Amino acid sequence: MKKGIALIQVLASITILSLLLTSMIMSSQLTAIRISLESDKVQARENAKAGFNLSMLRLKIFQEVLNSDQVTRNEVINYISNLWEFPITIPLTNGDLLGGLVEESMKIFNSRIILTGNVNTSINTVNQLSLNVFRKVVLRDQFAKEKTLPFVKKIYIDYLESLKKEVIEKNEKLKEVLEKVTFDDFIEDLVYYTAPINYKPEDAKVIDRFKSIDQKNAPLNSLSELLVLPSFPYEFLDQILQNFSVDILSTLNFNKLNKHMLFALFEVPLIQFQNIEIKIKDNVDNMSTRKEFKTFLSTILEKDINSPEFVKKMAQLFDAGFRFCAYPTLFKIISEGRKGKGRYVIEALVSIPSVKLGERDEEEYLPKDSDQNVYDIFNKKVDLEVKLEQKLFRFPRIVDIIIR
Amino acid sequence: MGHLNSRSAFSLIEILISITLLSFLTIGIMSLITTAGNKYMMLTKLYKAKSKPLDVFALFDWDFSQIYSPLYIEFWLDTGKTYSSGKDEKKSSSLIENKVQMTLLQDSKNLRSNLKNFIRRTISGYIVPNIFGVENSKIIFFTESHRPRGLKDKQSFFQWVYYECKENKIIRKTIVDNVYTQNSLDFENTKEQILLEGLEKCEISFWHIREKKFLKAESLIPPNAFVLRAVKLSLMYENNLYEKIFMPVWDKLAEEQEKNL
Repeated sequence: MKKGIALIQVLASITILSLLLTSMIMSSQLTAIRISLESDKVQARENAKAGFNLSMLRLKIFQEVLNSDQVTRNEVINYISNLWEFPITIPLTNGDLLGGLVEESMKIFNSRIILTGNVNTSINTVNQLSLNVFRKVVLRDQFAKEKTLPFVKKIYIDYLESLKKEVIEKNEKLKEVLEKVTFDDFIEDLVYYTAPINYKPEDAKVIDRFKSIDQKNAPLNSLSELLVLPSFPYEFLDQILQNFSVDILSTLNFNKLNKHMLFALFEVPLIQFQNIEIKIKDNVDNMSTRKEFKTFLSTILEKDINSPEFVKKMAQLFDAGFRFCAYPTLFKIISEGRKGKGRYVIEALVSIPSVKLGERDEEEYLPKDSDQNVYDIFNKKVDLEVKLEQKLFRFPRIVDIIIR
Repeated sequence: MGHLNSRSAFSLIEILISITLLSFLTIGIMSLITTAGNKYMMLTKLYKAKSKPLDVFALFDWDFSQIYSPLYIEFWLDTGKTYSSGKDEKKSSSLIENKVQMTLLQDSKNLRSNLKNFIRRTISGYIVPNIFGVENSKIIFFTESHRPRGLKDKQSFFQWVYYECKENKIIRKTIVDNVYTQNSLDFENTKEQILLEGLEKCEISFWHIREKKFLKAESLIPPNAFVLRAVKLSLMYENNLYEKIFMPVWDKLAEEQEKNL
């Protein structure tokens, strides 16, 4: 009866030993993988930084071209479109699709670069309203006869309301939630949070709302700081993140103004949007001077550009700190570095303060007989006096960096 | 056949052959087990020793790489400098300009008396966070490395982070609420997180811009003390020395600032 038991015992012990062996091998392999992951993470981060630096260099080249007197505006626009309207991926790919000399060149390039892993970096132009405009307006209003703050608040509330309307139109499900959302308190909070120390809000309720949080008394450094505001509309978070910036310069590219901006800044009636969009499409990147932009505005608004009403409107915008130009001045750089399973993403908002931009045809918007250009004088004086700073203005300026 | 079937045991030759075969098999299995065991022991020991300091480095890296100061973007407002008007300026403009200048200076003055954690302003009005307790064993800095769990926590990405080497351990504390508080940062009553115990050495050294090497904290003078380019963390753990250099992601402008110092 017990004749075959030895064989079974041997087989069982071999099985147990094999299982033990396998588990030990797997465990040691796992440990080895975890160690290699650490080094992959470091390499991925360095790759992302390399891509980011490359993007900054591309923007620097653009800024040099923009500030050069040797080129015309249209040449600038043509140049920039070649410069960044494609992402860069290193090692270079798709060489096999192109064939011949290009494929060969790509292979040589890839073999010569010192890079372990992969880099993917892109630059996108953005046209967003700056939330740091309020602090400057409050500062300016302390000396001005006509206060600009109510005018600026209205622009931002109109802009938010217009965005809200579009979101509701696109998604009926959100109607119930978003219709209750108002932006007045949010803007009041923002003004109070960033304003200079001696600012006293008209509405005392704002101070009550700030019982558990101190004022910053300084410009915002990041959009994430909005989350601390007592009346922040959380339901509208995505739209706020996509449509606003914390840039200090508040310069807008008039070729890329969207319908919400046109509505908020120039009171272009909503009913005209469809026609205007067609006009904008026809004029994309064609307006190269502010005079052309004003003519475009007068056409869609059906108003004379020399009418007192129109001149006043433009002067108010100028006093509020809004500047318009033909080029993009704000960019979003996304640089992704990879190595093995390591991944690191740098997302940065970068502006290019162009020294010559303000000198070209700013005179157009300077209101006559005005002693209220406090904002302008403030900027010019500080910029011109500090030579070191002026030197730095020749470089693309990082507004914010977020690590993903 | 009947004779063979009636055998109650294996023959000697059969047993010898089976023992030989089994011994070959056993030698093979034993050598595999020994190799795997050695590798396992070696890697486990290596990983256990390295992983703890590596975890500390990873956390410090996350915080320090996102250290924030507007001095990485622009220069501070020199409150001692007079911003005189140019030759072509009108008198009325100069008056307004003076008023603006006065307001800015007043703002900066107020800042110094009110906010303890921010030392001064840059020319665009940004406030410059202080880097506290820069010692060889302690550092407190302002960083953008916080990620709030919920939207309604009233927290931004900014936080104050405290690292200290004390009594053979390295600890970390954070302040994430009301980071622009006008009061002093209350790290005394903040819960501490012990990152690693049993350290034989724990030291923080700072990159000195002019000397171009890592030096002790006391050698730092402003603006070096407010725009940190790099920090080195040295840990001695289980008789092994672990060192790593950390750099902020904002290092482009800092390079330019160096050239102008």
